[in-house]
Amino acid sequence: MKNKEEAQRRVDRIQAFREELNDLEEQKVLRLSPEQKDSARNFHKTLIADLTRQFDTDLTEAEKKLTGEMKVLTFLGGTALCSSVFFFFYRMWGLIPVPGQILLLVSAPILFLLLMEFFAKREKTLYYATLAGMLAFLCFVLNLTVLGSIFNIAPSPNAFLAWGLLAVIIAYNKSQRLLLTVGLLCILGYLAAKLGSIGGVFWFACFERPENFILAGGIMIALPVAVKRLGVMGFACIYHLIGLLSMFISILVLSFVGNSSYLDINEAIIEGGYQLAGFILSGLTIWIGIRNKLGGVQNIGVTFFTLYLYMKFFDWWWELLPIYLFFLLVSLITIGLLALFKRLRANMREAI
Amino acid sequence: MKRYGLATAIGLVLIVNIFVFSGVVYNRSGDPDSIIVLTEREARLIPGSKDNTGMFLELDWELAGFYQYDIHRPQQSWLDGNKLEELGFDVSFPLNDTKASKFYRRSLPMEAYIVLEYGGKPWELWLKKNLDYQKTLAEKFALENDNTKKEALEKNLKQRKRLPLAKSRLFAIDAGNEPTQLRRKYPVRDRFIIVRGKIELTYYSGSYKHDKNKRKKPYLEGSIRELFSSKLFVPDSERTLILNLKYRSYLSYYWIPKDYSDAQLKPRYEVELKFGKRYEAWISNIKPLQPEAQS
Repeated sequence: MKNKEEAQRRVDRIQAFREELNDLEEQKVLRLSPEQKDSARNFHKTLIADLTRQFDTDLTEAEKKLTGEMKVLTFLGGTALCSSVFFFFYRMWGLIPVPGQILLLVSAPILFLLLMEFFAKREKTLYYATLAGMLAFLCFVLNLTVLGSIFNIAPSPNAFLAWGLLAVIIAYNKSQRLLLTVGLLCILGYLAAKLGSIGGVFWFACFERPENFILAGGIMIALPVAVKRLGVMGFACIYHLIGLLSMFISILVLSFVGNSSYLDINEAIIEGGYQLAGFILSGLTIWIGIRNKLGGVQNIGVTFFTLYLYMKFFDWWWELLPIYLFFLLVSLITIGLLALFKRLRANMREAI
Repeated sequence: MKRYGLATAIGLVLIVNIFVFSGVVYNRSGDPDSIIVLTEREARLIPGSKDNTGMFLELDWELAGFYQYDIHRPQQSWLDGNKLEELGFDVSFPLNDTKASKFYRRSLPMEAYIVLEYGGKPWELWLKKNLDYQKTLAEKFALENDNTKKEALEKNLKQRKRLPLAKSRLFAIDAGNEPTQLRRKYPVRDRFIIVRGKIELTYYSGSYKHDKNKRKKPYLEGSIRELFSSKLFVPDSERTLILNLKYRSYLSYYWIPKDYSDAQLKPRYEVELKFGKRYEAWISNIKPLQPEAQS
């Protein structure tokens, strides 16, 4: 097994196999000999013990729920701890001489990286290692922000690249999805800012032109395709998620605020064009998701297709129809789509 | 990645910090681009809080010209359509066109190098305009019958008389994309400083109702939204003097609290600023000011 996810899937399959075998035996469909049962039971027992020791897999639904809750607590605890460190530094830094401030700022992320490694060697669950990783990232953000204040350095989007790279390195090292998401968001911001600052434009104005985020989102989606190693540990879906969200949200904004486009043509044409592009792109995303068995990609495509559709309905009918009739019409269309998808699913099954 | 992850992460932190410090060393290496001594009027104390013990001064400056309370800025500033075009803004759309407002609203802010002058002609011009404005206010006061309006005029007049004691003498006088060209144009390094900043373009339709400048015809004007070097960190070696100074919460360009005496308006310190090769500033010295040394 390469990682915890694979190990957990194996344990889940074993549990499912045991439950199905019991049902088959009760219904007298299948009966294994006592030797076969013992052999399978012992094999599974040893395998589960190994996987639990190596990856701390969950054995029951109750354990899974608890694990989920522990992840939430790790996130909340980590965020609170990061905030505490951040504000503690701002409270104390004026009392420390500048050389001391610099030493603290540079050494803090390194110390937390070492601490993260220390915890990772001692615990399978990596909860404390995750906290240490989050703190290392936060301290690096503080490092560059405060150095910028001390030395009066002009603001630059390059800091986002540095922060993003550190978060991504930690994420790959310790299989941290949260830090990967944060890191990729930083890199997305950097890409959009660099694209937006072409021609001397102030970099922060990239937010005023959503097309910067469409391009940056496209690059984000292409990265794990171009560099296959980036997609290990199931991380490709996070690149897809961030890239697609960036593109679809930008298209949504441009569908309604055509004036914020780089294109200097009639606003109505821009908005109509982006609305059409939204439908085509989300449809394409659904198709790619189904074809390549990428559930996350498919779901994002469906979500935004539906959102664009409902926003069109609102655009066409909200003013024209009484409110009850508007919602009735939308619900009838939704039910119609449901029937259509049900039919499609039945056809797909027949084809199999 | 897993095997070398820790080394890579630590390496990244160190390399980025080395890169940052290299930039700082480069900025502060050799002769500074300018060395200027300002007073508290131009480099104000920023109020601290118990949650942030860092101490900063902020450059107080304005665009060269004269602002009045009722008519915002009667004359067009130097940051007009021609200068904006020079800075890279697209100003080709006809100003009288009905779609001009929509076109220019799309304009994005640009980075540029901005020249600030300390004292000199902009300050002399401001003093003269301020005196002229006081005469105008005095004439209006003499002719006014409404008591409320009379009171407002009197307040404004008192403000205008006291403002020269406390107002900043730092004015933005020019901007460009090439700092070396600007330095050649303004070679006096202890009077002209060059900083990087952000400039925005605004289109005014000239409609009397909405235009505070009341120029009655369409025009373009730029505004300097931000100077990147305006917030100055006070190093611990210079903190002692200003640590116990009370923050003065006044001084927009036309308002002083009436309970402040003239002595309270005078600057309490002067600060030596150096601007380096990257036009990023640092405080090299802060000295107290003696009361009789005020100007």
